[in-house]
Amino acid sequence: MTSVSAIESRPATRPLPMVDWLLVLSLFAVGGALTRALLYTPADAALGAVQRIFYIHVPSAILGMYVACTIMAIGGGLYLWLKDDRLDRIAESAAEVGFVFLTVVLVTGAIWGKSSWGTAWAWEPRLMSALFLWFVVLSYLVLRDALENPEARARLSAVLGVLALLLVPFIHMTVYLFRGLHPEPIVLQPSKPAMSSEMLGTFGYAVLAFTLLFFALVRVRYQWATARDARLALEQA
Amino acid sequence: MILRVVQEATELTPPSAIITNVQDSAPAIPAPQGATNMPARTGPPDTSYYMKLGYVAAIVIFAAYIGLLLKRVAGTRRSR
Repeated sequence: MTSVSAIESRPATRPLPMVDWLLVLSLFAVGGALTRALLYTPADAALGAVQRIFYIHVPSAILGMYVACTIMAIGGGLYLWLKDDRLDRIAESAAEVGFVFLTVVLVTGAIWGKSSWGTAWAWEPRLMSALFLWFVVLSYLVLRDALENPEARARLSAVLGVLALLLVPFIHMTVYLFRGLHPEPIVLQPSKPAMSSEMLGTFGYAVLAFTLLFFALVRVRYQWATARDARLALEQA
Repeated sequence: MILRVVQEATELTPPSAIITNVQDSAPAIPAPQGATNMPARTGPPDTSYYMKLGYVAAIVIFAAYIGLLLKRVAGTRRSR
């Protein structure tokens, strides 16, 4: 029989939808962005067609590195303060989706590097620090999976999430601090973007589409985590 | 006097006598041997293979994660 305290601590859940409308919408948006990049955007004069990887690589880096790590750290930090399980689930969801985006960054970057630099991997600061962040987020997810106590899992992973964010400014600065293969930012440079207006328009559209996909995935992941926690609370009651 | 003679000679020259096609008697300069192995610079390099590979890899990663997520959601729906 379910006790009153167990019912009160159980997360309030709505039924999980069969089809998430935001996810479907974001997939159409990403499809449109990639179609525009492939068919209606000119190829780079120096690099050729491979430069079009830019429209996946850079939005994925913005979302996987800056956005996901910020949500992971803020969610974790606020959890340490407020002890609200929803904040832990937000951090967990952002970390997992961010890990997927970071994986896309590393894989597409390696393919682009193989074409442009002649090697898929180079031991240079930007690539190494990005790989290090990938391992930190992976360890965050493995840590969560390894700990059975929900309170300890949330607390320890929150600390790791906050520490992971400290890496992000360092990764951002590597292209300025060290001499490496990776180029400096093309769009967000102080003077003006070194791109044509067509390329810039496609890039802006790709950033919007992938942002929509990121938050749609975080939303579905959060809803699933809420349903999972509710089921676990019911089983333990 | 000299200018007048030149002017008359120019005016008297028939058009057929004007040389328009200069024949160079020197032998043609052979093309550099090293140039035969170099690709012609007709535009950007053909890197479409890597572009396709990058797009396919990214789509596969995203599709795999979305599939995993939907599988989890379906499993949770069944167990409710």
